Amino acid sequence: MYAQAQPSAMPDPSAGVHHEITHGPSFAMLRVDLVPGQTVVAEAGSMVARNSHVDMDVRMNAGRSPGLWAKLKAFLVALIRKVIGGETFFVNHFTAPSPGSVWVAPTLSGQITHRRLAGETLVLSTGAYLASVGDVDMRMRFGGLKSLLAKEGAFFLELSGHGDLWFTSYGGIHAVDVNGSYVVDNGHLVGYEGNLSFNIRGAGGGLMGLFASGEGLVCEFQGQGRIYIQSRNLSALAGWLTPLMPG
Amino acid sequence: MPQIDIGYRPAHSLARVVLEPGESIVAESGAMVGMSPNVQMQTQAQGGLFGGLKRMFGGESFFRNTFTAQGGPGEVLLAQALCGDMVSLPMNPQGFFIQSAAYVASTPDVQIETKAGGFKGFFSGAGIFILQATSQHPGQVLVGAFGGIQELHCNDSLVIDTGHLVAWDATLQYSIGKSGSGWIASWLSGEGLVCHFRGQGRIWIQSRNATEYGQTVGALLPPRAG
Repeated sequence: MYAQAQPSAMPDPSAGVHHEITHGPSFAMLRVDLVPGQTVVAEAGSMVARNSHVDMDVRMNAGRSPGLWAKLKAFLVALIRKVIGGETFFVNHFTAPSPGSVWVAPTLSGQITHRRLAGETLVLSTGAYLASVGDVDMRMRFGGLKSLLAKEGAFFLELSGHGDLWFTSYGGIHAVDVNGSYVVDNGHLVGYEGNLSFNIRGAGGGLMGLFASGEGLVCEFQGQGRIYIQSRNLSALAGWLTPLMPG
Repeated sequence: MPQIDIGYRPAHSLARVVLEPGESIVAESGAMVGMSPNVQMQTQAQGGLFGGLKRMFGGESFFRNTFTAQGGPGEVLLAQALCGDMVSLPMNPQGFFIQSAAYVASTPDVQIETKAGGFKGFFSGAGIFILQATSQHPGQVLVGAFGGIQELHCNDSLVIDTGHLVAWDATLQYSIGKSGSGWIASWLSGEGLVCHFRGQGRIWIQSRNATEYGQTVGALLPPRAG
């Protein structure tokens, strides 16, 4: 049985926000306990529940201090994405005049991972961002033509600053600390630290490997840093279901 | 009263209902996984034709099945279609409200009524229909979730996304409305419809939204033929 946690009266910015992840690893849900002055930013549509006095305000995901052009661009992209589907570029801001809680959950089955950002940059794949608290800056990054080719979302979300970040995975989440290089199937990529760089290429074995191995395209990372991988792949689920659909 | 044990929680829960001789359990059509040979199944549209139609309108099945152990004790195994947890709620005089898709089974004394005034989401497309479970006698109602089940205590007021509702104490007042300050903001926020609760009572929520999940996976599939 669940008793609502009482958040401490004074926010300590170094301690991070009070939160709990339950129902993992298959159906993880996040509860964040807000104190006055804190704001939870969460992916549009992810709210499960909130105390009634917690205010919800929809915002465009254009970064903290965007210029007019960046705002306009973000708005257009956001509107197009909202209409054609896919990840929205809108986020909800939750604030509370007195202590209160917000519960959020992702759409797919899977886990939620918490990470405290301390000045570093983390890049997340489409749909992996769930929520954040604190001085976290978000920027939409176009992955370039190579990521269009890789079909797993042409956009990445670049997060930097100081604060708490929660991201989600389809299936379990597996961290790999890279020193040198590492290869990840692009459908399983959740995120990576900003000091890593990657190239998209075939998994190997030439043309035969590209079309017959079932591995498709992979991301080859270079550098030193952490990669987050999810144990399931949404495209693989869709690929498995498609032939079962009545024709 | 039959004993209900739930195994394989939380992802693939299966309820085992142990029936004394002559005892029954009423279950949603299609929920039966297995049963003892002396358990007899009777299919009926409870509440007659009108009751059945009302249920269909509420997104449930027309028929419900009654399982009765005859000539000795027996058992019935019950499951829901989607992955997720189940919980058996002991009836109390106030009763419960249940989101219609969450209903799995109930003991025969429990009255399950489809509430009029189901609300179809204009923006979200996610409709919500509500059942009311009441009983003058001890009984149980078995509800299932998509994902994990979390019991929340409403001490004053809570706002819950309608897609995450499972059941709540009938002591609570509820109203369904938009999530944000205006319709545009509600649409952009992606939250669709929410349920505003007031008062004291328990609310059971599910950690995943089945409609949202279906839409996400469905968008990746080829268009339905014809």
